[in-house]
Amino acid sequence: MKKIFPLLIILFCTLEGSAEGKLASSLRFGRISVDKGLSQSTVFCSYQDSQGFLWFGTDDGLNKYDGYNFEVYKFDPTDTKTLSNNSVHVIFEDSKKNLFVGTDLGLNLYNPQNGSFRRFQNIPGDPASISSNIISSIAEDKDGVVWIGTSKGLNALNTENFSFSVNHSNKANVSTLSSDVISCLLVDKSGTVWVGTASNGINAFDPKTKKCTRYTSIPGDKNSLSENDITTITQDRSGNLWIGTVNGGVNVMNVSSRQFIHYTTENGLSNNSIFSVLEDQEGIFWIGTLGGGLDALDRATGRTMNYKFDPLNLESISNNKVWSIFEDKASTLWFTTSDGISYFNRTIGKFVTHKVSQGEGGDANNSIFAVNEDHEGNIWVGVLGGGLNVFSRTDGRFVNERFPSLNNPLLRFNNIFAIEEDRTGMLWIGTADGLISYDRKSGAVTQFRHNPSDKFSLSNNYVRCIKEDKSGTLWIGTHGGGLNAFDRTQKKFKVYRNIPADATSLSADVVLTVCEDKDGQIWVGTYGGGLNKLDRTSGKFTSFHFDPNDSKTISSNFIHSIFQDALGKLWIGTYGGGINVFQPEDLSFIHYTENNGLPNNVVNGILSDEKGNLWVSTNNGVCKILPEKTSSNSMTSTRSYNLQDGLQNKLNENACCTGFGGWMFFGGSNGLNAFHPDSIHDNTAIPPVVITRFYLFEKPARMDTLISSEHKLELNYKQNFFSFEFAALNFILPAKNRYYIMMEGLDKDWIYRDNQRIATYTNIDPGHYTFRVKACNNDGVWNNEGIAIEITIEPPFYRTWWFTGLSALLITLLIFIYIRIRTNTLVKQNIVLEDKVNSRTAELQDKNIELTKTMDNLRSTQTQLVQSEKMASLGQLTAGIAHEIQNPLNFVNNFSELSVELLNEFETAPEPEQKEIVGDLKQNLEKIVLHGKRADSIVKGMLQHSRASSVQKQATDINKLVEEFFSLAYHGMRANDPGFNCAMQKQLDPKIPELTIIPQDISRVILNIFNNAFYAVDERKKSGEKNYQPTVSITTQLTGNKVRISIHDNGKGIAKDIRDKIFNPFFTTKPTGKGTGLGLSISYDIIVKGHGGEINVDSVPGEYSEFTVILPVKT
Amino acid sequence: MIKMLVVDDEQDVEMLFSQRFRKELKNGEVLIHFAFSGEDALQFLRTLDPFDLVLVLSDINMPGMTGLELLRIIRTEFPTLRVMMVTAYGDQNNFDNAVAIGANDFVTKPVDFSLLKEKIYKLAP
Repeated sequence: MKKIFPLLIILFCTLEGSAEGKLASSLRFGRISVDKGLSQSTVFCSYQDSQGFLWFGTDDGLNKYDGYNFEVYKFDPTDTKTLSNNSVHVIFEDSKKNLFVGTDLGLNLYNPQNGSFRRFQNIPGDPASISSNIISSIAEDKDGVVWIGTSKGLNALNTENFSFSVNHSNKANVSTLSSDVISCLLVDKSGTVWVGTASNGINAFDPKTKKCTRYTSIPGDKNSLSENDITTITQDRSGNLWIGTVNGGVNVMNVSSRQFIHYTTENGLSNNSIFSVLEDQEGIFWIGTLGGGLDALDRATGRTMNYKFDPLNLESISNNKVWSIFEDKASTLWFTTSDGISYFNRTIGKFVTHKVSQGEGGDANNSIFAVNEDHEGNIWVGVLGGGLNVFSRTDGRFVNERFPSLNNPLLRFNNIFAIEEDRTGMLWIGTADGLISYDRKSGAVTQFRHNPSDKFSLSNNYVRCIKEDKSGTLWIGTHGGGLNAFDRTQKKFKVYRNIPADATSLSADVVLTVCEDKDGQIWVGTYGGGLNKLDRTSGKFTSFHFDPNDSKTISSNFIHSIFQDALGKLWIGTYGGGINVFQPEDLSFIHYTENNGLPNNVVNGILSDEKGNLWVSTNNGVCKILPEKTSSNSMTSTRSYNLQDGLQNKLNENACCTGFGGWMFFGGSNGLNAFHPDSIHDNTAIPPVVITRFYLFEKPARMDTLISSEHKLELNYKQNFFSFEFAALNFILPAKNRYYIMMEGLDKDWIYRDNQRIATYTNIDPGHYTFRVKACNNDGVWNNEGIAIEITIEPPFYRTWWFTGLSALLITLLIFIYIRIRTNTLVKQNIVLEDKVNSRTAELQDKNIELTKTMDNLRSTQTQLVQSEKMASLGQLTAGIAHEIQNPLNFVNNFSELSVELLNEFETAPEPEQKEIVGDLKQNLEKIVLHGKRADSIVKGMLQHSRASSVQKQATDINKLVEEFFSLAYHGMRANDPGFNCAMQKQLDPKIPELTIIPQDISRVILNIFNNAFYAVDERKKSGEKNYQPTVSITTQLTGNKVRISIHDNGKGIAKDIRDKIFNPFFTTKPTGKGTGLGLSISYDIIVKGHGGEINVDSVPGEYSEFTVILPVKT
Repeated sequence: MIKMLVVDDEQDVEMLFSQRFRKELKNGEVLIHFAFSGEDALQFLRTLDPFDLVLVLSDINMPGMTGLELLRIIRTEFPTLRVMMVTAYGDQNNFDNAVAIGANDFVTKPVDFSLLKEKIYKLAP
């Protein structure tokens, strides 16, 4: 329905640019500074080594960064193996992986094996030493010679023997350097070494012939250098040199013509003091100034942008003095400044959630249920309880102040569910209180409401969706009043409603979405009645329902959204049933759910971008789907985005739209997400995996060669308590990196560690192992190769084969000797023993008499204990009973009161009504009797239970007894813990005859088992298991001449070793004070000894327990 | 007319409410549907015409879905629907939970019907 206005498109391009052009008017920089562990805030240089670590040189120390921590290296006067000076100006790794660090007081070579440095300093009189200690620059030529720029000449370093040879300037000889004070170096693609000097321009130095060509600033020559004080030289991809100067801006040197073009403040630069220039992967030139912040130049368009420090914006660059610029392997740009490090990567901050309103008491409502863009590019947003609001994409904020008529109370305070602009430019707003037309030019607002006496009025005031079709009819879905077709000229609504007896009517009256397909057919999504298609000539509907027995039907009857893609496929988003794709050939549906990779089965909206990808909003963020790769049994969900990407998780039904230029808008419970699909980039860089630390016995151990370069580690048998700290070198949101580890030889499979970076191993047997780590970056890009460390733990001498062999021989010999000696002794002892046995037998007989007495005492104690168990279970019951008795008493009170009222009415009522009242009175009295008896039986039950045991057996309805105590036990539990809840299932066999039993005793047994069952499910519930539904069920069954009573719970179950003991007196698994431990042992006595039955238990720990009582029919 | 759904597991509430609201029902001021479980209540809310108000009599004591769970689902599926909860006297814990989930009003048990009527008229849109 969006019309294209060419003029507006042009306008948007110039205002926006971010979708087409590469330079945004503001960038979101990340910052890293001393608070994260950086040694100092003035950062001169940065570098990424071949392993992937980032290095930063500051005015006070060298820093190695793994994305998590900084390792700081500093000068220590007492240790000659430390850095020679703390002011670090250049870091460089050559092709042999020598890492050099240039300082104000010498050159240093890093030793990765132990973190030490080898210093190179000038030794006066030694021509093979470096010519000066002030190092500005380092570069390597094609022959592997490392060139070092110093304050006194250019040094060539031979890395075979680490000797230096120097090239000096000779003013008189033009084929020597123009100056000895070297500020920067560059080896270009042809192998020429370009030497920038601090006072005399640049030199093209041929490393073979050692001859120079000088280029200096010639006053009056516009094609020469703008200034002679050079700070930086870099080469762009077309071969031109970019030369930064202290006060003369940037010079671009054409390599073939050897002429210079100047970029200064006169043609777009923000400042002429340039210290760094870099061309990034995208072809953008980044120019760091000393005082003017950062400039970016798109040479293709000639556009420049300036990015400055803004104290109010934490995402601005951290300082306006930019010393160096560097692009790492993941295309992240690193800017080192006088106040820490700033970095930028276009994959960071994919989404922003815009809040509707801030201030005004702070409790602004942000739940958006309707979004639509008008033809002028205003984005209209309907907020639950917060009325109509307007968002400007160019301003990136809500701009309600531009439309004063929005303060109209009808627009300001309503609940809005739908917004549609018609072909005349009128806005139609669906609210919970009717349909509103809004002319945003004049501010005129008209409300359409339901009028019971006008059959052409809106059928229901609760409007959920509005859609204008090709013929100009507005289709309005309501929540309860079906579908309306509104004729704007006649101002009449034609109503389509559900008629239960008519299968060709609309299938339900709650309509959440309407869609007109390419053929002009109207599709209607209902809440509860499935999908409908309207035949516009006959006015009849064909409806599509969910049938649980037919997998080809639509997967849910609750429809949230309908979308037709460019190929004509109809996509249907449902509540709980995921996505359905309609198959017109056989009127069936294909389903895509969480099983196919959808992040959530509640699908709220479906949009399509210009490339044909679908963007689907759910209750768990948004996911992007490639429809052409989606077949009948698989869905390619390329990527899901959620809260972590800056999106909101809960997006609302049908609150989405696409706008001009392919923008997308999604409304959710926390505000509005506005984005362009092309600006959503993933970080695709595969992160290198490294070992960052090694610990022995929890103490940091030296990172030997063995770990860092050869990936081998040898330990002796005592060193079997060690840890590795590892890292994926991804510097974009490193907290989202994830890891798997495996110790081959110990683990059978990978172990997921989430973002944990330390693996500890203890008591590892001697042998060979391989420790492996694989990791992914913040956007789930895996380095499956990862890192592998081979570990050998040497066995101690006593675990070697020769030692084992010798020991075995020795032990066999010893055993043989022992057996011989022992046999002799035993024969002698036997004789002595026989005497002893005779005398002990006499003693035992005396003891036996004593024991019989003790036994009698015990019996009487047991009887007392049994009684106390009864009282204990009664106490638990009382609370349940009090609750249970309250409900019938309420009814008795209410129906009595009502009866008195009815009698009063009766006296004055006319005769026909009197009859009705008498009927009601009779019913009331019956209810009073019924609930009175209900209370009575509860009290009786309680009394019976507490009475001391009687021996009288009586005929009893076992089903009734079981039901009554099921409910009592449940409420007893509830009374103790109001939070307790449990599903209760009953399956009682009506064929069971009355049993002759002692009802008090049997009820005690049943109650006891119920109490245990509820306790068991409650314990499992409290263990916090997900999706656990506590359930207790009771089944009674007559088989032959036996009655089975089974009580099943899905609680924590009973372990096998415990199961044998539970009928023992005083055995309990409940905490002290919560059970006497006598319940089941008494039950056992009652059933087995008192009634000649059986009591059994069956259980699978962690799944269920089932107690079964079997009673004979004739007892 | 106020269209109300009463939810309780005691089936006799139907008769009780029919008599207590005898006049209002006769005059067409209210229309009351009864659901005897949380699951039934949701079924009604999803399929019958929209209700103005839900009165949940059993705050916790329904087997299966509790009143609080019902309230939570209503809040997500029917954000504008008014819900009144009945809480047992002195049960602060459940009262606090119901407030947090977003109940619109409360009455305590045993129910004072004149107070209940007053609240219903105030709450209905």
